[in-house]
Amino acid sequence: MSTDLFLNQDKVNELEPFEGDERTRAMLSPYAVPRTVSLDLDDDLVEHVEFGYSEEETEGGAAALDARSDPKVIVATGNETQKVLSLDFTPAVGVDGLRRVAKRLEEQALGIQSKAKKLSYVMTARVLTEFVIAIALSRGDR
Amino acid sequence: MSLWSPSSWTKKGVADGVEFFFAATSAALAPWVTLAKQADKTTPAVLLGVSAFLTLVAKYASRTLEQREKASGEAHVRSLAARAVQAILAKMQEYYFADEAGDERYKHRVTLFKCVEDAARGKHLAIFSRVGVRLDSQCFWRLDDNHPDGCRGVAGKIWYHNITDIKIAACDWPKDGEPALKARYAQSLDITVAEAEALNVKSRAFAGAPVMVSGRKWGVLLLDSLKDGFITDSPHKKGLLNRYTELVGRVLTEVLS
Repeated sequence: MSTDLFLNQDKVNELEPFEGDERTRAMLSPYAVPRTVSLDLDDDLVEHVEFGYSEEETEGGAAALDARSDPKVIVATGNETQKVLSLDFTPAVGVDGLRRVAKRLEEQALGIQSKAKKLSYVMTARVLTEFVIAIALSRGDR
Repeated sequence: MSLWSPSSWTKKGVADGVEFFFAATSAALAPWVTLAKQADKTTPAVLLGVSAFLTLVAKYASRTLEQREKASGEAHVRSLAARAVQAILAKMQEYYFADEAGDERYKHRVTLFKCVEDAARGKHLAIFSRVGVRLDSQCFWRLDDNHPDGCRGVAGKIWYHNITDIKIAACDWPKDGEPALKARYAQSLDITVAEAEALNVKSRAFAGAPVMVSGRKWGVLLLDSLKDGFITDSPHKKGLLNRYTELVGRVLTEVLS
């Protein structure tokens, strides 16, 4: 079952990462700010997450996030902007698994040279974390 | 004896004359007769050649006309795109610098750079449309797909890194030509002193984002201001920059595709 979620843009703006100081600031381009998230759910397990943006972009490649296999995460990025287009999990993960994937994304972002790709990894991690928090809140657990 | 004397017209003479007449006529007509004889063999080839030539001429004329129409159509589309973008940039300037007094508005500009490539300059960002002073500027910024140092100016860095960027110069460009301040200004904007000196307008603050058209990186939208404090990363101003950047991209996608 696929679930599409429209992201609250005010919340997204709050989550948006940046680099630099008050005199120079690098941020995501307008085309790399996620607008929607689409999840393939099977028995509360997520196999695939897709991010929607204001401008469609062809995939530039997909690569393993890291060497880990708990789960193995394949990250597909855009050809032009290198923004994160989708994540695939093997095996599928539950809500707690998503939280761990978000942490791994943040860790990997630290080593990425490309500013656009780095910021997109961090943004993706933050959106996933927010999603996990929203699910937890809706279930009544903290 | 006169040449025309009838006495000289003997039977033999008449016969010789007739023979001579036919011989002379035959000699005179020989090339035409030869051609006529050959005509049966050559006419199809000649006709084919002529028809092929005429076809080529017709095709050339048709293609030239098509190219002229296409060029005229493309020029028309470019003109439409430029006018539409100009109107959008004017609105953007009005909203983004809304807190500026009317007579000071000239101190803030909005420029749309387009990525182009030619033999003289290589790949570079050239002005496509601008609102503000120096509309006729020939300013351009070189690009290099392989190294950020080859992408010059704030616009070039935005292009290379594919990010929204805000840069505030460490100081104003010194009016008295103080070399240390010139160097400080240039260094804080990641440009050389020579590049800074070549600028018609030595702005203090910049903000910009890459523009995508039909899913491809097309250019850079850049705001620049002579005054510090008007270009900021506040949610409102960042929202304006994002929305107008996307709007320009969408309009160009519609018009140019």
